[in-house]
Amino acid sequence: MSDGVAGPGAVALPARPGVTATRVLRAEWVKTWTASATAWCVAATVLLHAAVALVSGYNAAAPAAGGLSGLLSLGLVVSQLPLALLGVVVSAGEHHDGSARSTYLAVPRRLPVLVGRAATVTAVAALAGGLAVAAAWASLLPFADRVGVTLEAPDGDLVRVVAGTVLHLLAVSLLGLALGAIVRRPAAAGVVALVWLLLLDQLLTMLGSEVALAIRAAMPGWAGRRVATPDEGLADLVRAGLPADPWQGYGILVAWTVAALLVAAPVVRRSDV
Amino acid sequence: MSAAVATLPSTPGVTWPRTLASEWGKTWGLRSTRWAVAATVVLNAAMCVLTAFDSLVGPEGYGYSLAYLAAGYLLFTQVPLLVHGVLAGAGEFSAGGAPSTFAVAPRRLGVLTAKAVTTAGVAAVTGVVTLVTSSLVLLASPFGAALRLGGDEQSVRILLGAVASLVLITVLALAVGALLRRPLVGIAVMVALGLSELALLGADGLAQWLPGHALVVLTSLNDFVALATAGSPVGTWGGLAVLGAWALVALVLAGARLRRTDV
Amino acid sequence: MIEVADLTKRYGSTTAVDGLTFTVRPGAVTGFLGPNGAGKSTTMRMIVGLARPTSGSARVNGHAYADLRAPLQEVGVMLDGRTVHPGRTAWGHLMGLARTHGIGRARVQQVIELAGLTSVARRRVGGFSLGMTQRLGIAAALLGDPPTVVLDEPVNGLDPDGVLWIRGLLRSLADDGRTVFLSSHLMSELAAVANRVVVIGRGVLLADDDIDALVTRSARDGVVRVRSAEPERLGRALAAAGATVRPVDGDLLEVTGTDAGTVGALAAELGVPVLELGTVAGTLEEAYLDLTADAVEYGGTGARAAAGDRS
Repeated sequence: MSDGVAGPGAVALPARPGVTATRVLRAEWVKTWTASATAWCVAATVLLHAAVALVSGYNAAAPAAGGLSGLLSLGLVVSQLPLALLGVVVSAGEHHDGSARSTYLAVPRRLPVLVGRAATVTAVAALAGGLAVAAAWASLLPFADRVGVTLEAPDGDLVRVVAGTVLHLLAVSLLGLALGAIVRRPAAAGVVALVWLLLLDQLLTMLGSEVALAIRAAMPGWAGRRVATPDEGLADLVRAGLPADPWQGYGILVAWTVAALLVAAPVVRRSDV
Repeated sequence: MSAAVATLPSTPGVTWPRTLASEWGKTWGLRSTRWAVAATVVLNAAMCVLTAFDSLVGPEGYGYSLAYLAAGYLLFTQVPLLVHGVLAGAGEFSAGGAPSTFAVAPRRLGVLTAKAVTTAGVAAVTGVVTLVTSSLVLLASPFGAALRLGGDEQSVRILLGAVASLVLITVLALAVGALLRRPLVGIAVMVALGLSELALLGADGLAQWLPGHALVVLTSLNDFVALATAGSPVGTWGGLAVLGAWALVALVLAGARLRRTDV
Repeated sequence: MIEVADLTKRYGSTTAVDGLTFTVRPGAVTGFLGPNGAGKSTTMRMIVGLARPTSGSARVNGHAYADLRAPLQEVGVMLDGRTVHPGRTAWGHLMGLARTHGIGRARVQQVIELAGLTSVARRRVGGFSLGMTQRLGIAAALLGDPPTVVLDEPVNGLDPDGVLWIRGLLRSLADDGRTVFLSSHLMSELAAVANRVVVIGRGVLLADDDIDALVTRSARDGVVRVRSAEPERLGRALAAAGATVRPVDGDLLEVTGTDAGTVGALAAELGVPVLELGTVAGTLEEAYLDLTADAVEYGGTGARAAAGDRS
């Protein structure tokens, strides 16, 4: 043909054609890491987490509850939000701007896209969580000599709390991803995530009745954070007669996340775009 | 053809009242506006029901104040209203509606102020309806008999303060939406700003300069107000001025962005 | 090769596509024609797996689209409307698609050049003109060098150069033996490039034919126009001879059920001076208007009458 390009001259087509899981993962991996939203969410997570540690360290007059591990995980209430929103944006964002159609034309089975995104978001959350804890620790250095700030590791719970902080962030970002895939409208899914993970906790706490606290204990945000709560804080929960097992709490969050992903899968696979 | 011509105005042109009328009609025509208003009203009433029917403390824990109970949850239940504000400011840009609005009314600042007035109106209506509905619900509850309706100074402060705070913070949300033009980012910022009270409760001094503070102080019982404003340069009603300043600065920035950039 | 069988799509009580059956064959450019809202985009989205049919099926190269191993290398698709994240560059968008199929950077570069986007490849798509966006859509469609291409309104927003370019491109793809299926609501655009047309209106198949065959089916094909000094006398005589006569304006008559020779002979017999005599050749435009007369979803009042009076 006259152009000689679209025709037999096409170059660099793969020797083994086909959409594979690895290829889709690579595509989603690059797309997510190169999106500006990703950088913003990672930065917001790290800054919020460190800022809360900084403010707590600055205000520390008496030994902080839970010592160092308490200070390192305190920011989780707010630092989980940017990553939940990142999950929402990664899955719902393409519906907002229409690029989901391009994506699903290339991968018409669609589920590999969801899996690729889940893997990528997990990696982003792991990085953000690691950086957040490191930044929180660094922000405490100036106050190391103050009363109440203990930078030396207390016995036992530091490893669990730090690992728990990162694990909580992983699960929450995947929960956001699932919500975005189900709702498909970034603003609506984002509101659901914010309400579910932050507001509901606070509201139920404010209500304070037994029913309210029982519901709160089953909510992903509050339950998941138990894995990142220092032993001292868990002991307080036990005294208050509340469920306190850290890994059971994380199990509740994981169960919510898995359930949301299971709901998301058929929505992704079957809905019109 | 002739029918359309017959309804053309005698004095043609885009005037500010017409822009306002257009924005007012447009906002109430949106399903999301009606949802936001309904959600705020229902959410707040539901919280009141939960409190009055399943409380650890009796009405004495709430100072026997109907106004305090009706307005006490607004810090959380205002969220639909904040979302509405952000969407009103950012929605049109993100859904591709902006060019049509701004083509019709080229004076963009007029559109922005008309939007601000409209949003303030929506917030005022929502605030009043919410407080009335929640009060009625509370009066019908087991608490009802014990609660004081009261035209006392505290009740007046709570009710007026609640509506004024809602109006100003919703206008702030609109300005943030118009400034950022991304609904999701705007909502995240507004929730963070509106509820920052929570994260910073421990950090005295900073909290009073945040936009969410006015609502918290104005809708509290006298005892807490005395505690929260002790040694504070802002004071009880000063929080509204702080919040108003936030809203004004955000509106000016949004206006500057509107004038400068292509829509 | 695209085979659509009894394809139906309902949204609630609205039937957007109603039992469509047609086949698009390789080696030709097949136009997909219908008024706005006729169901063209919905049909195309069902063909490429973006919308689920309520019933019926669509197969591309013998398979349902979702079952294709390497869809981009089987079917190139360009849809109407936005399909690109405005924050990405043209290069980034195409690379994102290419990675899912293991297609190399050299091919991405190749389609960027082919679509004439070299100078803007690294710019954000959000700042693209409609024409550049269309070119990017075509680049994406050709990325996998597919034997079948499906294009929804590809000419929208292109400048005259772009229109000529895309006509040449489509023809050369068909000459290569590929299947080319493109939709348009503009008859004139399709007439310039298509060999075959599938016409739908309100979701129903109205015609599936060669373009030439469709033209001769036009109701106006073969209408005789005669301008004479005594139109009334001539008209009465023609009607008496069994023809159908329609006065157009002043001294002009349109006559059906006869031919120009017969009309001329009759006029000569009557001694009526003939000022002008000719046969109307049907156009695709007219054939299209005839077919879709009852199927215009959003027709303005009078639009049809105006179109019908066109000579």
